[in-house]
Amino acid sequence: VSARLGLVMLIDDDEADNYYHRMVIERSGCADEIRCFQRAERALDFLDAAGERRPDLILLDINMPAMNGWDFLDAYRDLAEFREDVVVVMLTTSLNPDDRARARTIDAVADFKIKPLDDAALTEILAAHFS
Amino acid sequence: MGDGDRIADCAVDSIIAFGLAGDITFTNPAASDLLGYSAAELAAMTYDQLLPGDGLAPFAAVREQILFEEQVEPIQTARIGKSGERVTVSVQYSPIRDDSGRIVGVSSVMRRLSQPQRVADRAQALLETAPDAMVIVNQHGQIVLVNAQTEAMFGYAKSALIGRDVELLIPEGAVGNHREHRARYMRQPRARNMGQGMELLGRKADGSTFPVEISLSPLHTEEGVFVSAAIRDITERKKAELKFRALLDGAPDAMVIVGESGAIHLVNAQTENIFGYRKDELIGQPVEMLIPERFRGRHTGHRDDYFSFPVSRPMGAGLELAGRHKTGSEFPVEISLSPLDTEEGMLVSAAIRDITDRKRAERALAAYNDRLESKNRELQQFAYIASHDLQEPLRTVTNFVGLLESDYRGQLDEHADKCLGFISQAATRMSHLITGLLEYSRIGQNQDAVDIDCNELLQNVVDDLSSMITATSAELVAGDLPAIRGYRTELRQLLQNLVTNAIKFRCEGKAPRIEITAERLAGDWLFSVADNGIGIASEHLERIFVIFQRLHTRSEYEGTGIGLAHVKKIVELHGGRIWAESKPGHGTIFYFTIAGELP
Repeated sequence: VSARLGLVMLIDDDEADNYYHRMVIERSGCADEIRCFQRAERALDFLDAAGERRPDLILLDINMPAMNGWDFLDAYRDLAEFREDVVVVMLTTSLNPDDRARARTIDAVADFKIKPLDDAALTEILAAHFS
Repeated sequence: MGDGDRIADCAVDSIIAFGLAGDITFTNPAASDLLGYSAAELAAMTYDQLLPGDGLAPFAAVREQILFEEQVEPIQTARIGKSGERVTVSVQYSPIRDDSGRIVGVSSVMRRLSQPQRVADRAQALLETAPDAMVIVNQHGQIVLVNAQTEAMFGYAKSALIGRDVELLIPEGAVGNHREHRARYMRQPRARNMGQGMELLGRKADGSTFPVEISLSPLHTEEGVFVSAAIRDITERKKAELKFRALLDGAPDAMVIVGESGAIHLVNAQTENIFGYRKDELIGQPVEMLIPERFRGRHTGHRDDYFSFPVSRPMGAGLELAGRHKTGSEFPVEISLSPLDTEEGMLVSAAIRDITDRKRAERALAAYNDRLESKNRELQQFAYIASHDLQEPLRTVTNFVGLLESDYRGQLDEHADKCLGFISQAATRMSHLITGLLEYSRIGQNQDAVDIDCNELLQNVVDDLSSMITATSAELVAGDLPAIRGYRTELRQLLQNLVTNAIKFRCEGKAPRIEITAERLAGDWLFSVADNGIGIASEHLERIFVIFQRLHTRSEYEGTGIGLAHVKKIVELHGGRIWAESKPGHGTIFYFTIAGELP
């Protein structure tokens, strides 16, 4: 993997998933920094205050308590400055084709992947959006 | 002989003069003719001897008037002739004065009133009391008598009508026929309605026409046969009829109006559409032509029964009724009957609805329902098998992770411990989810509704949760709860879930307080469970009832996200609905209803 990313954000309420995805990314050595958020609201707060530390990649779960992935995208859309150069990939267990179709209608979403994120999936994301 | 005497001798009118004492002083030949007495006989009589008993009082009054020098109008009265016969006369009394102007006597000029004149007068009085325009014509069709209503109805003055042909009152187009009809009627006159079943029109002075109804009766007199026509303006009734027809044609159902003989009197436009016949093919025909042949025999019997006990009701309740189209095809119908009391006697109106579409929809619905039921059974079976078969490999995972954890914890690195922890937690959670799912699918299955005392039910729940309640110093306040009909296990689960939630989502450092009430709400029961916990943001108030939806991460609050989905399904099983109101930081109130009659 040749691409190098700065900050990667993992937004998922499942601690185990976050732990696993962080491990996969760490082992690939493609990112300088990985931050995990179990609540989408916290991720939004972080982005709001990020300033120069904007992420290169956001991996976003759909089913989360309180603010779910869709709610997050609604709020994220209001943070217009991030939209251009931040790659948002939806990462979900959802097998519901409606979710995939819905994701396609949202500009900010660059990709839609099924969990778990493994080496192959990560390679695909890097190849598609960072080369 | 002076001119005056000659005039008196030749006058047609009878003249008798008498003195103030009543002694007759003068008579003319016409008076002798009228009364049968000779001039000499009369000269020896007093005037009141010529009066009938009932004529004395009016005569006295008139005489008084004359003496008081009042003007006197001619009056109708009677005289008694020599043979004792009563003669009807019109009399004009006048005073006789001497040269000085003193009244010395009275003259009476009498004219015999002819029979027809008297009949006419009486007839006129009678005519004026009639509500209809009355027109009496002679055998030549000339109008001889009309009443005031005739003047008002046709816009002619009486004088403009008397002597004219009655055809003056008839629209020109109908005049020719009318003359023929009139001639025929005169040959065989009897009381009847004119032009039965036909639309008759009258013609006003201004040429406009209007619908009328006319009844004729012959008047036999010495002068020959007269015909009296009672004419009624039925403009208003026609309007009402038109309105009725418009109403009929506007009805969504076929309306068929039938007489006691079973003949069709009236149908609306919808009848043509549904049965394929034109109106004129139906009117007068037996109503059985709209019924499949195999039912016709029985129908006439039913029809007779209905006419003997006519009340508004659906026809053949519970039976499958069929109509017969002109082409012979049959279609399912629904019919309601009502009696119509009309001038034509008792009629029955049948409102016929083609329910082909509804039947088709019903069949489709029944088929759909069957499919749904079998799917439901399948699904329940599936959930049961799935949960059973899923639990087994899961147990293997749980067992062996447990073994690894107890045998190797601390001997591997921190990362390995963490991984084992995740596996063990996930397996436990999966087990809970599977159990929850199974329970969810089983709500309301294989149970009978029973009468439940909710106070007792809540006490059971409190007993079950006693350790949790003690540990959190929770306070439970309940009003007097009702006895309701429902499913015991489910209702207990419902209360338990709501109370558990109220305690679980308590505010930190504040003892949970839960208040449960119930009240009657339009035949149903409205329950409320209020807490003083952390509350729910308004945008999440709907989502909380969806299965597996959670508002908190598992590290904040444990749970599968099934509890409120369970609660919702239980409430719906009891024909109720559930919703929540909340103020974040202050508490939540869950409201749910339980139907008075279970679905």
